[in-house]
Amino acid sequence: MSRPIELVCPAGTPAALAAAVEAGADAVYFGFRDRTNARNFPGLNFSPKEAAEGVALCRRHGVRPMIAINTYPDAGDEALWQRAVDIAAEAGAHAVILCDMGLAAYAAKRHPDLRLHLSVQAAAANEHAIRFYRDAFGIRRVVLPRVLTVPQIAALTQAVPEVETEVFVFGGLCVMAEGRCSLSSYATGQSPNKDGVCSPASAVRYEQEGEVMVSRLAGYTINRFGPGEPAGYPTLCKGRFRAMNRDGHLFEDPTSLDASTLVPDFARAGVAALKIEGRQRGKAYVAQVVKSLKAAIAGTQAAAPAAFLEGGVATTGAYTRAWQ
Amino acid sequence: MSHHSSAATLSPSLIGGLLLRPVPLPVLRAVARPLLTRVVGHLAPLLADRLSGLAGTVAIVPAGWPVALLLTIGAGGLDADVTRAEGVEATAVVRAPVEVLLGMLDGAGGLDGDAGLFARLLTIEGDTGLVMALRYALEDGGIDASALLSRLPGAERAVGLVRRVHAAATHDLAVLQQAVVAPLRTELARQEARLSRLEQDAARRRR
Repeated sequence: MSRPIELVCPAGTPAALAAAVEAGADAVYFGFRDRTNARNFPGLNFSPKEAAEGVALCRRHGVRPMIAINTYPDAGDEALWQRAVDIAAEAGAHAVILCDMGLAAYAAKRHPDLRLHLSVQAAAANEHAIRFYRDAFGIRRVVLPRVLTVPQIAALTQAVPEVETEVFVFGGLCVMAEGRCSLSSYATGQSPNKDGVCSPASAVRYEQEGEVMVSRLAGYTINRFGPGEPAGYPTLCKGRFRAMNRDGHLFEDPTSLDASTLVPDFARAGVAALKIEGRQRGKAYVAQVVKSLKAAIAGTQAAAPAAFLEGGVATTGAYTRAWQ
Repeated sequence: MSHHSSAATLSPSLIGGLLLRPVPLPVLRAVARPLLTRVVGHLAPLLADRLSGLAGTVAIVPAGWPVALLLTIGAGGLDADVTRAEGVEATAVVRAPVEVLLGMLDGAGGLDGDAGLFARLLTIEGDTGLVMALRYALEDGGIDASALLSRLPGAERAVGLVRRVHAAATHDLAVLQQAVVAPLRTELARQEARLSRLEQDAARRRR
């Protein structure tokens, strides 16, 4: 019988990590307080000491701690990223989640016993890419981009059986080829892929105009939410714009991924792990979403709390439809 | 100038805020300052690490209240004060009903801040990054409503009483609110039925 599907849960702080462990996470992923991870927000993330304590807490509860080092190093200055890999290895992390080939080569050579996962930020979406990462760096698991259908995921999982696949099941929905999207960079001057910040909070402004809420990113109006209309983050890919005299969401509506009803399909596809997005969210989100997803995996419940959804709307994204 | 609409529903805290309106600010400050000093003395060391390098003032305005809580973050640590809610100026301003603000301090079983924003239960204006950092720091410092209230003298007995009164008042106000909005509900149902008929007529004409 195959291994039960693993639930990989987010933690932005040690408190959120403890909440994830308490709620029944199989694995927890987190990052350091710097540009080496894709949620580099003020007040968030782990110091090396907190990371070591987090790893120890996970180990005591049989939970697998994973450390995300999933941004791209500066040209000619990769010391910060390599040091992050060293700290994760010294802390005893179960795995590091990487996207940069140079960093993967460094980790494979310097820490041959450290398990390497390929971040969604690498956007590896075909068997040749995944096989290359396995052959070159010994990648053991790939986090698949959120642009594949379930049949495509099943085909990829079968095509490269030596590499486990992990897919996002709940949370923020990035609709772009991750690691290659620069929309936020153009607006804010800070890169999701090099600075670890998509739509950084420092560039976000919400303004009330009576009952209307206007959301802005670096001064650009991204959306206007009418009275009582559920709101979302001011990300450019989910903005409401006027084109050809029509207002609409050009790329995607403000919405969150909720693929909890597809858990049986992912299991049949041979997926090894399901990932919850949301290291920037609080303990309440982590605890309640982890519990509901654990129930969905156990087949006892499929509904995750609707209140946590951006725009109040859930989607199964590309998993069940043809846009890519 | 922006206009503010914090989602103020009929609640005991809203009534409480209205009752505070006639109280002069100097009196409120005189009462609040010693209590805030106690709470800040407890909070500051717990928040210092996650707030290091950040500076600014976050104003927290309970919906319908005449006063705002000012939390000033800076190299000198943390400071708290109260000021008039009307025209409050700060690096960031958070507005929400007291019940929502306390719900966000209820830990794993409480209200998620982002979910509150999505549902329009709260508004944030100004430096969103500073508000987020404060939220992460409070949460990671293990600061919940009970922990804060326990720093106040005689709080344990008072909290029990307030919770009981709040629960009873919430129920009574819900009954009152139902009675007040009943005619509106009837009118809304009439308008919806009319709209539905017009839509059906339009659809028939298109066919």
